[in-house]
Amino acid sequence: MRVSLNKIALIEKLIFNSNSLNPEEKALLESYKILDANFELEIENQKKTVDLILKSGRMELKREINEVHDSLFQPNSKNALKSRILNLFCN
Amino acid sequence: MERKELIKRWYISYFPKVASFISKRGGTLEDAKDIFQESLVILYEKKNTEFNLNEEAYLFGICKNLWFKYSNNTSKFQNGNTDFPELLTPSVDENRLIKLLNSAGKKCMRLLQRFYYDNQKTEIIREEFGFSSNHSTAVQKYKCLEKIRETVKQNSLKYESFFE
Repeated sequence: MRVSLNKIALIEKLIFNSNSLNPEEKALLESYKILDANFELEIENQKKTVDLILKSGRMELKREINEVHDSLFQPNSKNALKSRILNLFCN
Repeated sequence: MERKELIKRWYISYFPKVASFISKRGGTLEDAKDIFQESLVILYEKKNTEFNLNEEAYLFGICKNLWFKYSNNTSKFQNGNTDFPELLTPSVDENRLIKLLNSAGKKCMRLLQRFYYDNQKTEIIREEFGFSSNHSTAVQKYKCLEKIRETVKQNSLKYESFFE
């Protein structure tokens, strides 16, 4: 992998699995911290990016759940689940 | 199993029990739907990290918990001290940013969601996306992360509330 991708992979390890960093990786991180003024910002930015990916994954899941619900409860469909559920709320 | 198939199976297996619980306590079908769907998200996320989960007991526990909170509070799904996790709604800026990221690279976002949100194994993602090896799958993951991270960085001023 090219250097910038290795750096991203290293930051990922630092964020999610810092206990598994080997001495070489720890030394590399230290050197980035000393030599690269923007490194802390880069870490923060990557954390926020992953956070957004997680939130977008959740939004996608919610969309799929709604689609399944709509397919089971569409107005002209007749199925056992729909009848059973509607009966519970008919009073 | 495709995810939608799994969701359908959960609906058929568990929604009647949850709906019955909520209807007996004066809730509406809309309440039952909201609580069940919110609980499915929590169950799905839990299952990605805990493989021996008793899904029925866990799901019903979340539903009961959400129902009691809903019926005791004026605002739905308020945060509080419970044994179950809560779902936080993304802010307006987060929502806008996510839309922007999806439009900037839908395939990349999907790939990254499979890794991070679905906690899926590299071998499975490799097959799903048609990569030639686990290494090229990992390379693609980091290329995508680099691209998305750059888009996030470029928009950090526009969506400053997210970056506070």
